Amino acid sequence: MAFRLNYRLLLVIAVFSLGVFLRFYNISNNPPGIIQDEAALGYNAYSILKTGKDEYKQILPLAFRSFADYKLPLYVYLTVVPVKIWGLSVFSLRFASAFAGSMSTLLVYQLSRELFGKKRFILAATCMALFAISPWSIFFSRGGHEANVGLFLFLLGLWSQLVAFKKDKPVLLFLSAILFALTTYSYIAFKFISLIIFPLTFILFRRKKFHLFLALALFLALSAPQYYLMKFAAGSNRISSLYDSERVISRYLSYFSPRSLFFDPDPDRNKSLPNLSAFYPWMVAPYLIGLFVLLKSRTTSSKLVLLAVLAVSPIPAAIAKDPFSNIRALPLVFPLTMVIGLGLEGIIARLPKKVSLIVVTAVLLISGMAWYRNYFVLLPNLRHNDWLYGYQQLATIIKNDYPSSKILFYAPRGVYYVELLFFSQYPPDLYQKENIAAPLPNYYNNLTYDPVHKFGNFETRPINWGLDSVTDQIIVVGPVGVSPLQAKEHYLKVAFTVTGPGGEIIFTGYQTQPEVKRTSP
Amino acid sequence: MTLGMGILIAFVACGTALILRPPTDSIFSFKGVEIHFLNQRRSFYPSVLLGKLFENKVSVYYSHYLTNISYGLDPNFYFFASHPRERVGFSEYQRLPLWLFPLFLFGIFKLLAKGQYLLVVYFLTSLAIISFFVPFDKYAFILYPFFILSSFTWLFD
Repeated sequence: MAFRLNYRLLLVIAVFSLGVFLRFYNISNNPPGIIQDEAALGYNAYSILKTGKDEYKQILPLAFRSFADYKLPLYVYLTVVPVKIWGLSVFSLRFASAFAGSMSTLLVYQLSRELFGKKRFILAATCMALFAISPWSIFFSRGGHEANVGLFLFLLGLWSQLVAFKKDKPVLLFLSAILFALTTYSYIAFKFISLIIFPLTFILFRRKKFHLFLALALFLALSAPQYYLMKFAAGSNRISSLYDSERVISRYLSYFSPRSLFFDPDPDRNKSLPNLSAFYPWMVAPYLIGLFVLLKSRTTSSKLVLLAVLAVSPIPAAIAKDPFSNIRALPLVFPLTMVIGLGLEGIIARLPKKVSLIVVTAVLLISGMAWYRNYFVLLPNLRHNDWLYGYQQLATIIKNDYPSSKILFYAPRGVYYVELLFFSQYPPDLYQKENIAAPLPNYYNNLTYDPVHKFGNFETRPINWGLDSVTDQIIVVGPVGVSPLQAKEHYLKVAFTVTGPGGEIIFTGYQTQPEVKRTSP
Repeated sequence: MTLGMGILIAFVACGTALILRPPTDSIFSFKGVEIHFLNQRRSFYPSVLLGKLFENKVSVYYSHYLTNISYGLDPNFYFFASHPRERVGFSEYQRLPLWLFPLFLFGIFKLLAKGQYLLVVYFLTSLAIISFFVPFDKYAFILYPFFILSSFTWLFD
């Protein structure tokens, strides 16, 4: 018996270690670069740490205005800790998400035991392993994504709630209320999912109404600020800009379609891998079998909870107008992992031990090869532009070689300034003084956004050739920002270039020659 | 018995369809741009051997085959004209009426619950065969009986 326990524990530790490795290995460099939303989260965490205010001088906001998109605050506040320990870096920015993803693998194991019973060790270990190697979970754990932290809190909340019911521990019930409330501060989809799942689980387990009332009151009290914010642009802007009521059923169904889950990647290039979908293609068979097994199994409260999470999770994603969004539907990764686990358990149980061992080894090998190919080879080479590779090198060149030159960064969208703030570790107190938009009146209801940003020797805005070509400065542009003809016409001299992994030019810094330009015919 | 019958019916159906509507292309044909991508991708690997191991003709054939399989397994392909993931270069249309969808879900569940796998075997075998041919849509009609019969068989129990 003792040997059995040790063997099981060793297996859980091994799978957990694999999950941690896949989430933390080389996260500073891969994904290559950080997208603007990650940079905004990281820089605002740095700003909170140093000044207690965000980039607009708002003290400890409930939603970070950033690019007038109002990011939910939890990830920023959590990132303050790693930034304090390791400084402002890509690792510290992504730490909270990678940590949450790693711990979620353990939670999937525990939740499986709570939902399907502690005797089904193979099922729990299978679900844990599937989650540990799932491309969907690993991908979002390796970037600074608020949704991944939300998922971790959601799973922890659900687990606390189930344990509280089974062991009659009201303390855990109140802890789950706190955790569910925290999810509403993490990612927009959880404002809907937690509001449905938390009370629904009470109903499904038919618990005392008194406990339901108290825990629900705690959940609502703690999450009230986030729901109250929906009165303002800070809470409603994202929803109203994405909401699309037409053809919701087909979009909802696409979140269960094998094509979307196992074959086609998310069309959003920085939210997916080049040739890998949310799960590995081989998982399609256990998925279909698992769905059947789940629906056919005896109806219990646990089964209904799992079905509720499965049914509710894609709703926020389905009412948004995008065709398929991995990140908005991230909560779905948990119930789908359970379904695939059920299917795989069914398959393994019908095979002889030796054959099942060969099957498991083969699928692990195939998954590992697919992961290596997509994540470590194709992603850095094919998607580095989508991940805004090159800003770190650009910030270093400017900091070291042109510390006092005037730099104009051509950025028509006006959001990439934050990449330069992040990588140059620009002092937040100084930026707050220089930011013309700070302090911002009507902070939570202000959608006006100025794409012009000025700080230190940087300025990011569209180019005004009449004025800029006769100003002594370096104009930094992307690969198509300035044509060779324009460079010749305005007497621009190449000062430096930043190249991508394949040697292609990502940024070019042009030195203006005002005297030559003025005296030119 | 069910397995054999399902496979036999599928082979007969697919064979007839392929004779009547000869395929124009298969998953084994290469487009010029794919050769370019293959060579480009090979250059990303740290060694030539690894490049050849991961990026080769077989991996392209496999990718073509999986693409066809994914169309065949997508309920949106049949009931929603592939919305929201319409394919570039395809003229999408709704292949089966929407009202059939809930009946199909109910029907297939009832069939499987009773251990009647004939239609499923037919569907999987046909899908495995027609996925070798391009364009997939040309032979997708082979799969419609699975959806229609699954939707109504339970009525006769």
